[in-house]
Amino acid sequence: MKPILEIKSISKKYAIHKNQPRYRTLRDSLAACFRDRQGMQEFWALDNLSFNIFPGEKWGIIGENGAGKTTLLKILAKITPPTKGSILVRGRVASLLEVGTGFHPELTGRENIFLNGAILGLSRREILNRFDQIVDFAEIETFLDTPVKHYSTGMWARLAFSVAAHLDPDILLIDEVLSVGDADFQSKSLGKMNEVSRQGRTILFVSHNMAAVRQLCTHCVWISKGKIKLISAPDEVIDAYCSSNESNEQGFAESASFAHRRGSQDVCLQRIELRNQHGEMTGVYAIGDDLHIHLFIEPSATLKKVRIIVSIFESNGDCVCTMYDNDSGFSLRDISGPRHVSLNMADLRLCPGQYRIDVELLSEIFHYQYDAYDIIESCIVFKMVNKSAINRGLKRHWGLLYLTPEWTIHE
Amino acid sequence: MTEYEIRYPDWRRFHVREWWLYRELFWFLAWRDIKVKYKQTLLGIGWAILQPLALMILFSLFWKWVIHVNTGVPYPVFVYSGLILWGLFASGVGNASNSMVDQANLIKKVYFPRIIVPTAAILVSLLDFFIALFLYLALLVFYNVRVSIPTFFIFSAICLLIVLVSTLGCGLFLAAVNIRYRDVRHAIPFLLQLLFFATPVIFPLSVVKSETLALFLSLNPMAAAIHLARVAISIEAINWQLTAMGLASSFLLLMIGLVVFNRNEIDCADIL
Repeated sequence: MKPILEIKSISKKYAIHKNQPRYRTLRDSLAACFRDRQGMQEFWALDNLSFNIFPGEKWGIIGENGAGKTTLLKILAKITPPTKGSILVRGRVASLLEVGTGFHPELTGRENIFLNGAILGLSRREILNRFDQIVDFAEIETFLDTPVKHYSTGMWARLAFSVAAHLDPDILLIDEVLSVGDADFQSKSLGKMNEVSRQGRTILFVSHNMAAVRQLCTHCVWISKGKIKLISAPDEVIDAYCSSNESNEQGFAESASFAHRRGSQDVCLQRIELRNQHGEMTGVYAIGDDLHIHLFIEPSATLKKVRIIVSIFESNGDCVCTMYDNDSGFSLRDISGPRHVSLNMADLRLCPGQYRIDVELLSEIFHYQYDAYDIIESCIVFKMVNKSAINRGLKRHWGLLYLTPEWTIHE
Repeated sequence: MTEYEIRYPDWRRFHVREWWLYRELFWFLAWRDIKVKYKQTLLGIGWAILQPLALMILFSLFWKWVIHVNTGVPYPVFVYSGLILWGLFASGVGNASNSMVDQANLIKKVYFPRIIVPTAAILVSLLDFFIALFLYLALLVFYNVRVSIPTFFIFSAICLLIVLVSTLGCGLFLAAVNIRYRDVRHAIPFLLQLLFFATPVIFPLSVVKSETLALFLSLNPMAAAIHLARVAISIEAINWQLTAMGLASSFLLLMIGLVVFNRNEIDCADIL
């Protein structure tokens, strides 16, 4: 059997301007003619990737943010060309890079189904054939002739997903779209994906949700910094990915390494440190250890109050806990210079695996409204390990917490 | 089973067959733009007539009171013929040149031949033109302008060809440049305004006395197109040199537009 996708030495280069928007004005270009090209930085989003995918295989593509996963899908979807290399495609590709692409708020549901179908590559006849199914799936019969600007977010998302779900391609590219809609619809969507996969279609699935990758995929590739790190069965790759500890055993991270950050930066997190009960800085903890999270905060203005929220996520993407400063009766007031804040958690009972910490620095929350000063996703990761004291193998899908309550027999 | 290869495209190649395969999307995009354009407007497609009509009245008053040159037909007919053609060109070029930026969301998420976007944008202007054309025909009847039907159709057809080809050429070129340099968005209204007065829209080419200036003006394909529109209603004698130059320059514009667009669309999803 011939592969349905032959990815041959694919590379993709981006030229990034330092401190510049991606589009330029003529003046910038003219100025650049006289300067040397120091301002430009080459960046290989993908670096010589090769692998084959056979019909019917379901591939999970995992890796850190910015590893090149989405770039790979964009190349497969022909949205952007590879700088080097080629891909041989034997079949029709459809992508769900983002559902609802091309929806126009002024058009009715019916009109948008046709438009969106055409944009995603269906002919008018194909859309007509599937029209009833699409409408049924989206549950919008009564609003079919209402402009979608009057739709609720849920209806909008359902309609968008249902057009995409009825594409019938040979190869389906998915980039984390499962989060769309309410729980009921999500389970329907997952059902649709399973149905598509049972029909023997090929799926490429980019996700941070390791549980979904384990459940849906037959193969898995781990991409790191534009290169293939590991290709194998999902369990093996995900375990390797989760236990990878390139830079996270050191137990600290600094502002420069925060890749996913937003907010006004009126207050910035400069550095985060993780320390155990002995005061040692580390990224590895045994069950029962203490975890001390140290935050080094620096304001650029004088602020009356800064709210701090620290969340822990497990590597599947599920939130373990969200800790608000005021839940512990703590608040940080009248800040004009750098501050060092620490949170101490005694007797950590998380099961072995990798966890990440998100930090949010916000203004006072008033009527659900607040200013975001600094919101950093995955500012640091840490690993929980099973030290010899516990003599059974712990797997995360047996739960998140390892608890040893007091057991008593009552006569 | 479809089998194809994805690699860095050669900008010297035009994938005409693929454009044809995506014709349905082209119609859908044009249909969407047309449908959305006059949604929630009171006058609806009346706007397509109102704009050239208002300008016609304005220029007619100006002409009557300030300058006076014999135009062969009542001035409103004369100026309206130029105004609707210019309107098609100006709005077509304007729509097309902003189209890639306006549709950035679509372009960054789905693949289709990008040339569809500026081309569909021009189609919207073409519809407005056809609506405004009805008033033109009404004006011809109202002022009792005598036309020979074959002359009218032949010259109108060549005229429209020149306008569409040059609109497409300019539109593609500017849309491509706009991907990289957003200056285009600001420059266009201003350039069109300048060009409007350098084109014999509101005056006949015959008022230009200087030979060199007339030659310079005739480099502009729109000069030839508007001349032909007036030949069609038998008020100007056909100037073959101007017509040939108009045809040649419009197709040259189209070639340049196509090549520049093809060259720049390759990475457009990364730049937009």
